[in-house]
Amino acid sequence: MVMLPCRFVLICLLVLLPTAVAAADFAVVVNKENPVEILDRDEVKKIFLGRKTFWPNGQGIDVVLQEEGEVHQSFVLEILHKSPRQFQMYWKLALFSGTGIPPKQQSDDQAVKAAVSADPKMIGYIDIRQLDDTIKKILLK
Amino acid sequence: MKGLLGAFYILLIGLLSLAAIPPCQAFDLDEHLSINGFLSQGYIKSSGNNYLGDSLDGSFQLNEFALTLNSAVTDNLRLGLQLLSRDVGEEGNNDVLIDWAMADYRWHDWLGVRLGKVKLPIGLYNQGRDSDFLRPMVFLPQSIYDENKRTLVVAAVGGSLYGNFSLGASGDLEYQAYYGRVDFREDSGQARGMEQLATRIAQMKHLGAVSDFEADNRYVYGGSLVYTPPLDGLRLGVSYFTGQTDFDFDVGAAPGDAQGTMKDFVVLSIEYSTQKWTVAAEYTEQTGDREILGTDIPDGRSQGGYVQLCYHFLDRFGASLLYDVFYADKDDRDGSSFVAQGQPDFLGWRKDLGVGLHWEISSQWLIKAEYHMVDGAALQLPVFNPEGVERDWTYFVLKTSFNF
Repeated sequence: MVMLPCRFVLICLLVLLPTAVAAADFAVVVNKENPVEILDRDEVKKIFLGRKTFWPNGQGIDVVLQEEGEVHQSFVLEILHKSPRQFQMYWKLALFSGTGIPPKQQSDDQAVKAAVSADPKMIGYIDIRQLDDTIKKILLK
Repeated sequence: MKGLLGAFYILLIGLLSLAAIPPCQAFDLDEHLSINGFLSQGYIKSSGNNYLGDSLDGSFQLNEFALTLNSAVTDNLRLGLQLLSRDVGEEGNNDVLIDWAMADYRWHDWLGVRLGKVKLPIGLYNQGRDSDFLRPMVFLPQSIYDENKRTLVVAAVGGSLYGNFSLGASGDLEYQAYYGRVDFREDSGQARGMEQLATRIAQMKHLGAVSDFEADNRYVYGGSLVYTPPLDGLRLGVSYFTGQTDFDFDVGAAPGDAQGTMKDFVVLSIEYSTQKWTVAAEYTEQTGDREILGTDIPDGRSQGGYVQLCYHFLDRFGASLLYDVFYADKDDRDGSSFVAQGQPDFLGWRKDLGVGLHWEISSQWLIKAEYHMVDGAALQLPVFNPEGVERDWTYFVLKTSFNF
């Protein structure tokens, strides 16, 4: 009789766990040399859609994406209001119609951090639990 | 013109090559030159009429292959080139052509310039019309994206200005404006339609046979505005196009000529997307103005539009429904002017009801199948059916595409 509630709780946890992971919290990150501290969510959306391509100091913005995964899905849904498939199609249209080059992609948080820490003009997103002092978190308004 | 164009392309390919191997740096193709492309192959079978080629017997002449090179040389300057080989019925024959090739310099988010061969922004979808994996159905709605007029409207050698204005809380406004000349291919449906008409007029005037038919575009110009309001998924657009083409040929032993102008080609567009639904509707009007061997062709102002619904059952599986209508002359929707010329009235309209399924097997590989029921034979259908056209006809298309 005691086993039944335990098993029920375990099943509930197993069911809920993927949901919690799918809604991964992300952080938008830039190089530590970048003077920008705060960005409007709409500005972040424009940057990742290629509509805003310059930092306030006039330098070009280098965008880096994650290839797939929960962090990528959460960022694309919450900030860009698109599904990962729609976001991919958006950049393929730009690529094959000659109106833009899709951002580079990295495989995971560590690769994004390495890319952002090496490029003062780069912006990306990572799992918030992976923040460290090699990169700078941007506050989103 | 063609010599200058060739020199420009050679220069562009040279610059792309240099960009791929920067001095004093390790060779890193991925860092400096991105290489992409796509391949697609389709099958089309129709009943009642041939469509775009010999489709009554079933045809595999429906493919595109593209290779795309891009290099971001600096923060402001991008060089790009796309080679395209296509075969759509009697057009293309898999000749390898430059689809677009440009130097793109962007000063600000609100101002950039593209020089070279640029894709033309007509409606919401013309710039991506050769990449069928970007849309739910194989063909774009023909009332606006008529395959027979593709040569004139797909791309031009010249330049364009573009940019994006932020309207703050009211959204964004993207603009493009262009001027240039089109490499007007003689195997295009539009050129062959003009040749067929010239032949008929030459026969009526007892001038002899038409031969050595050549098309020479004089200019195209136009632009587009796309407004993205704060409501996520909504886009509103308006575009304008005008272009004039001269045709030279021999008629009997003497030279003959013709001119064709497509002017005030206006498209109004709306698209609304959620993660599962996409609803798109566009409306168009355009004026044709043709003169062949001194005879003015009463083209009038055409009218068309469509509504298309697409629903994704799963992330990579979807269904589409299209209703697409075109009238050759908006003041003669019942085709009475064709009857007056001894032709069937249904040359004056085309009403296409289509249903389709698409399955994205992976992010790179797609399969589509669709079926269309059509009433009417406007939009150059007699070109593919010289023996005569039927009013009610159908076509089925199956196509697979891979992109990388």
